[in-house]
Amino acid sequence: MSEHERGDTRLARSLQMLAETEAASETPPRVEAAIMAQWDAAQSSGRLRRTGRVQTARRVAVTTAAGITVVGALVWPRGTNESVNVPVTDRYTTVAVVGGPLLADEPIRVVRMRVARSVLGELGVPSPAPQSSPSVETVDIDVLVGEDGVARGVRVPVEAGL
Amino acid sequence: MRDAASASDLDLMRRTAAGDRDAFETLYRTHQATVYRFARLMTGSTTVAEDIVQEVFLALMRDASRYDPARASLTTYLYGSARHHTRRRLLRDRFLVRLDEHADLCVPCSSTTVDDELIRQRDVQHLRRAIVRLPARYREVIVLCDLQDVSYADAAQALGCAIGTVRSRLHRARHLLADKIQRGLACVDTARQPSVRCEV
Repeated sequence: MSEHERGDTRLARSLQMLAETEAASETPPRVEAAIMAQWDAAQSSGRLRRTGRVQTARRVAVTTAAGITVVGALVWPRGTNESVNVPVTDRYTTVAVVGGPLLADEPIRVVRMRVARSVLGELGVPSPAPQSSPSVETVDIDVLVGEDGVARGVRVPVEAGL
Repeated sequence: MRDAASASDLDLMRRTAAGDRDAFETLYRTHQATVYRFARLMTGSTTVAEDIVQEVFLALMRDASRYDPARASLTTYLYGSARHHTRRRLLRDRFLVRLDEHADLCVPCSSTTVDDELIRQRDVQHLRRAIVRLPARYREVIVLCDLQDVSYADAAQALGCAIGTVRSRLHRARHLLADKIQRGLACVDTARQPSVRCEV
C-alpha cells in the first residue's frame, strides 16, 4: 500500500468516526425554547398588527363619515333655524331677478327663504296683503339658484304675492 | 420514503405558513439536528452553531409561505439557508479568535476502553481542526457529502453549483484534508496552535 493510499484510508476512517460522533449531536432544549418563544412573539405581534389594521380602518371610516357630515352640513343649502310650517301650494308665480332665463335642462336648486313682505316690493313684486291673514309680515318664497350659484329667479306663492 | 417525507414537509410548511405552531415545532424537531451538525462542522463551534440554527429557523418562520417545493426539498433548502447564515457569521467573526474551542467540541465517551476513546477523540479532533482550516468551498462539500451523507445532486442544489463542481471540489477537499492530517497541521497541541480560525 502506497503512502497516498494509506493517507486516503486513514482519512476515510477518520471521516467515518467523525460522522458517527456527530450523528448523535442535537441542539440543546434551550435553543428550541428560544425559537418557539420567537414564534409566539411573532404570532402575537402579527395579531396585534391585524388588530391595529382593523382599528386603523375603523378610524378612517369614522373620520371619513365625520368629514362627509361636516362637508355636507357646510355645503347643503340651509334653511332657517326655526321650525317653519311652510304651506304646501302648487300655485306659484315666478319672477326672474338676475341672469338669463332658465334653460330647459339646467339643474337648479330651490332655496326656500322666509323674507319680509316688503322685500318683495323692493324686488318689484307686488305683495298685496294675504287674504287669509292680513297681519302676517313675512312671506315664504323659493329662490331658484343655478348651477353657478347665482339666483335665477324668485318663486312666490300666488297666495302671498300676486 | 423520501417522497413521503417531502410530502410531510410540504404539508408542515403550508401549515406553518398558515400560523400553525405545532407544525413549526414538528419541522424544527425533524430538521434541527441536520442544520445544527452542518453549522457545527462548518464553524467548529457549538455556540455559533446554535446561533445559526436559530437564524435558519427564524428565517424559515418568516419565509415559510415563500418556500417552493418545486425548486428543492426542504432539507436542501435548509442546507442552503444554513450555508448562507454560516458564511455570513464567519465573515462577521473573521477577526475573532475563539479561546474555548477544545472544551466546546468535547464529545461524550462511548468506546469500550479508555485507550480506544483517547485515540478516537484525538483523531476526531485532528480531523475537526483540519476541516475547519479548509477553504469554505471545500469544507462545505466535505461536510455535506462525507459527513452528512447528502447526495451529490442535493449538495449541488444546496450550494448552487453543478454536480461536476461538487465532485471536483470533493476530490480536492479530500486531498487537502489527507495532506493536512498527514503533515500534522491539525495538531491539537495548544502550545503551538492556540486557536482555530475558520477559512471564509
